[in-house]
This record gives sequence, structure tokens and C-alpha cells, in this order.
Amino acid sequence: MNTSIKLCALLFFLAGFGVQVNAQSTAYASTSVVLITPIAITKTSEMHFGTVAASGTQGTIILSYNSTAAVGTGGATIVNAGGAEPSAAKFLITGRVGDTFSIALPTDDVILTGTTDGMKAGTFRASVDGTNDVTTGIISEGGTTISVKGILTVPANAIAGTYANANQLIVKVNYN
Amino acid sequence: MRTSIKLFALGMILLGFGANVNAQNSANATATGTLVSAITISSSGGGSLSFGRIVSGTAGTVVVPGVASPTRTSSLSLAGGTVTSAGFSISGVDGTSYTVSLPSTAVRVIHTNSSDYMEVNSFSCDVANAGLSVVGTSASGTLSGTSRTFYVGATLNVKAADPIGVYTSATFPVTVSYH
Repeated sequence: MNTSIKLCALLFFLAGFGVQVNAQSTAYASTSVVLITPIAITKTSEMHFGTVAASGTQGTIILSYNSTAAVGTGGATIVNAGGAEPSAAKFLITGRVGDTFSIALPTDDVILTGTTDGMKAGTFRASVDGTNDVTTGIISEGGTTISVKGILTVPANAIAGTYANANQLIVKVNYN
Repeated sequence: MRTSIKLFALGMILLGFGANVNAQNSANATATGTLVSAITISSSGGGSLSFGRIVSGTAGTVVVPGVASPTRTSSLSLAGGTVTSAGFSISGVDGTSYTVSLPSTAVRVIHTNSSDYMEVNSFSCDVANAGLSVVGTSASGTLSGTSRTFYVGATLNVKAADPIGVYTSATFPVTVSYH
């Protein structure tokens, strides 16, 4: 009788021990991250609409990706001889090769200031590796060049002189 | 004397049986006839905590919250990539009170091609999904139904000098126990 009671106590103890061990479970996970080279943008060429002549009528000059200027509308004309050469703005984008980046251009007109009046430049668009009017590009080995074009509005009877904008034509790039 | 030998033999059998239960979790726990079946945890949905892609060169932190579809919070420049929290599933008896234990020390993610590492700490999990009342390195809740999925997030500490590349960690444990 005495023995059987002891047995019973032992059974309970062991059963309790089994439950205790079983009351915990563990699973595992790992963690990871990728660090990449910062994206960088360097200006390699300023935007220049060339030398134009105003008239009594407002006109526009269209600067293209291949750095040629053409008359858009109205009374502005292009002065070829002896004038400053037109040039699309160019930027070199460097970063992680193969990565896609987005391009942000000014959506508002930029004001070029001259001796008295101002002139507006706007409708900026970007070209990447020969693909025009894009908002994204891919970083290639050695960097990717983007060209930026725009349209200049020449007011009627604009006064002769140099019209320039210091730094409002801001181009931003970001990894997508 | 004879009685004590029998006792000993019986003890060995039961101990062995008890260990067996532990190795195979809930199915065998039920077979033993113990009244409480096990609570178990398993990795769910890939079970990987991924901080995605981050632009190097600046010191800062990146927080991936422990939710199903996490969005990173960081002062650093982020660059897409795969961002996931680590998913886990708990199964057990409805109404079981349990505690989830997350890593309380930092886990290192190590650069693939060098010995550089970053630390991942401040592990957390989503209160709502896990039914937990406290979040920290350990949190308690009550199992509603027989299973529950929850997600574990953490904070990545980036140093300015950390080189570019892929960083991965060894596995870290998430333990669930009931009480």
C-alpha cells in the first residue's frame, strides 16, 4: 500500500516535468539589408538657347536635346553668325550600376533676368541615352548622361543683352 | 529493495517518454494524455526580416515595423528593394496564455565580402495580430482560436563608413511559451 502511493507520486511528478518542457517552442528567422552607392548628379553642360533676336512680336525658341535651337512660334529669330552656340543642359548621373533612377525637372517656368526685363524658360524635358521625354533612367558603367531641353519665350521688343538664371534650373535624381 | 528497483525502471521509461514529447511537439504531447497540448511556433511566409536597399555614406537607423506589409522609417536615403518583416505562426489551444520572446541582444548582419557588420536591435512585433498586451523583448497575450500569425520587425543601425554590399545575419530565435 505504501509502495503504490509512492509510485503514484512519481508518475505525477514526471508528467508535470513533461508538460513543463513541452511548453516552449522556438522558430528562427534571418535578417538582411543591401547598402548601395549614393546616387550623384554632376552638371557637365549649361543650358544655352544661343543668340536670338527679338521683334515686335513675342516668340519662342525651342532648344532640342541635340543642342540645336529652332524658332517655335512668333517673332523671335535665331542669329547664327557670331553668336553663342545653343546647348542643351547635360548632367552625369552616377551610382549603383544597373539601378533605375527618377528625374525631377522644374515644372514651373524659370525666369532669366537681363538688363531690364526678364525672359521665361520652361517646358523642360529630359532625354536619357537617346530616349526622349523620359522621367526615369538606368545607371550605366561610368555614369549615365541626361540631356535637358526647354523652350524660351522671347518677349516682344526685348532689350538686347544677356539673359541668365543663376541656379533655378534644378534637376534632381533619386533611386527608384 | 525489489520495490525500489521497479520504481527506478518505471522512472526511466517515463523520463524517456517525456523527452520524446518534447522533440515532436504538439502531436505527441496529446498522445501522452497530458491535458494541455503544446503551443508551437513556426516561421511563416518566408520568415525573413529584410531592410531593403539603403543608400550608403550616412549614419542612421532604419526601422521596419513588425506588421504584415511594413513601411520603413528612416532619416537615411532609401532605395527600394525588398522590405519584409519576419512572419511567425503560433498554434495551440484556444485561450492559452502565452509569451513571445524576441531577441534581447543585437543581431549582426555581416557584409558578404568583408568582416564589416551592422547591428539589428529593438525587435518588436505587432500587438494587434499577436493579441499581445506588452511589446518589448517579451510580450504576452492569449491565443484566440488555435493559430495566430504575427510579424517581427526591428531597427537597423547603419554607420557612415559601412561599405556598400549585401549584409545577412545568422538566424535569430523567436520563442513562444505558455503559462
